[in-house]
Amino acid sequence: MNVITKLLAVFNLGLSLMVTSVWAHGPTPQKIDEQITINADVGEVWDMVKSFDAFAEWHPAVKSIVMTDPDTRVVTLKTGGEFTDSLDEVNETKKYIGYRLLEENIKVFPVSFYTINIQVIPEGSNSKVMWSGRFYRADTGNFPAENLNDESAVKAMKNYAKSGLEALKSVVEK
Amino acid sequence: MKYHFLSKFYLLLLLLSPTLLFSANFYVSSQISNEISIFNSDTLQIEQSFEVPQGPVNLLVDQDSQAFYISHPDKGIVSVFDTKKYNLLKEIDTGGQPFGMVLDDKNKKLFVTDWSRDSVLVINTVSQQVVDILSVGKSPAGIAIDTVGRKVFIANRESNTLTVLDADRARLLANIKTGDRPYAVKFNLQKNQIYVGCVKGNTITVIDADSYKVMASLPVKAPYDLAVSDDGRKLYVTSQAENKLVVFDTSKLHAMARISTGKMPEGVALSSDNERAFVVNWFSNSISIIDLKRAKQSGSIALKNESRMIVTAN
Repeated sequence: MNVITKLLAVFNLGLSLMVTSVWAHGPTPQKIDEQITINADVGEVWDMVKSFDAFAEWHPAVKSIVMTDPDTRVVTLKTGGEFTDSLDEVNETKKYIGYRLLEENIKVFPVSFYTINIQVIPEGSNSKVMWSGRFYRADTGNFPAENLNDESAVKAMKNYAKSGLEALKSVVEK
Repeated sequence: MKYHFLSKFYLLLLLLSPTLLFSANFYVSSQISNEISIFNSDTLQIEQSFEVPQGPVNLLVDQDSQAFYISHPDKGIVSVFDTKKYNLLKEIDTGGQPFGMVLDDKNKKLFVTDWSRDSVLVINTVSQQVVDILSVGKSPAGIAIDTVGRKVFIANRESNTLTVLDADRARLLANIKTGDRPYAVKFNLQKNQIYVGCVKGNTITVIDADSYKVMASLPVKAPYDLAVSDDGRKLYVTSQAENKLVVFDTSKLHAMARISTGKMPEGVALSSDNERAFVVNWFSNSISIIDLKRAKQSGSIALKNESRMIVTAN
């Protein structure tokens, strides 16, 4: 029953392992911080943003949303493939929504884990929408392939936020 | 003349001594800027920063040898600095992804989790060499020690378990089921309780350190870091999803307060008198100064990019 195995031999062979780990917190978390000004009342913008199940109505990359329970949505992308989000908070006072990646799909979105929050604040008579993200690359080992590294993850998350914000603006201002 | 000068000097020293005596510094890691900032909790300022090897995350101060250990998971090393001048003394080449660290004063050992090799590395703090590597669960992250009961606790993030090791010899004492994706661990010596923050399960699993029974599951969304008051009566948890510092009563095992912080908080440390908490906000690039009596944020200090963990230097 000696469950603890001494791995000195393995250790001496040096580092050769590459492990992709889901929900890993070791490599450097990456950040995106995107915002847009929308010529509309805060309430009107917030009505669009707060509906966790209506994401497909304004995000151009999203084909459909299927709710599996009130706090869980399966996001199907227009380019194919799906991943699952889990809702953390909808705060009416702060006009803030926060959710995170529950089941990743690195083949279609090269991120192993993210938290995203979107907040709508007044800017004069207009609205400012802030899309924040904290995330990890698809391969959290120390030797990721190019398509699974930090740069790919940042690019994907940035595009996702930017295209979402721009589409939100055009939908609301229309 | 000389005497006169000296007496003035001593008088000045005497006047300054309360601040000198109680001056409390904290180290803060910024993984993306490869820097450690020194935060003074009296002046509420960043007094100094120094450069370290790539990707510093967790920090540990060994008072006996005046050494400061930093884990660099992205680089597969643990770096060692002196605590006086912050000179780099050594880069311990561990391989893998060293992450959480805990010190065993008695045996002059450092236990370091290595999540890419599902193991705990043992570093001798005198020779500063890796002397052992012990197999634990999958992707071990947080680690804590009971220096009296001689136990080491390791959160295995992808096994959803807590491994309990004998601190004195390579022996498994227990494997305990936790909530989903256990990450941070803290031990409360006064209450003999182990706290495990489960990031996906949105809970703190509270475990009795003798019977290994799960006593409670406390709700916190995305718990990140934990701190226990010196008297063992309170547990503090940063909630990355709630943007809050959540305060728990460790006797009643329920939440007493949920205090707003900056955006996406990570590390938390307490002032030496336990009246304030310092929370590092990863997204906001700031430290929230939390007045614990009033249960509210009393101020905020700007920080370097994407700071993560905070430990006391004293």
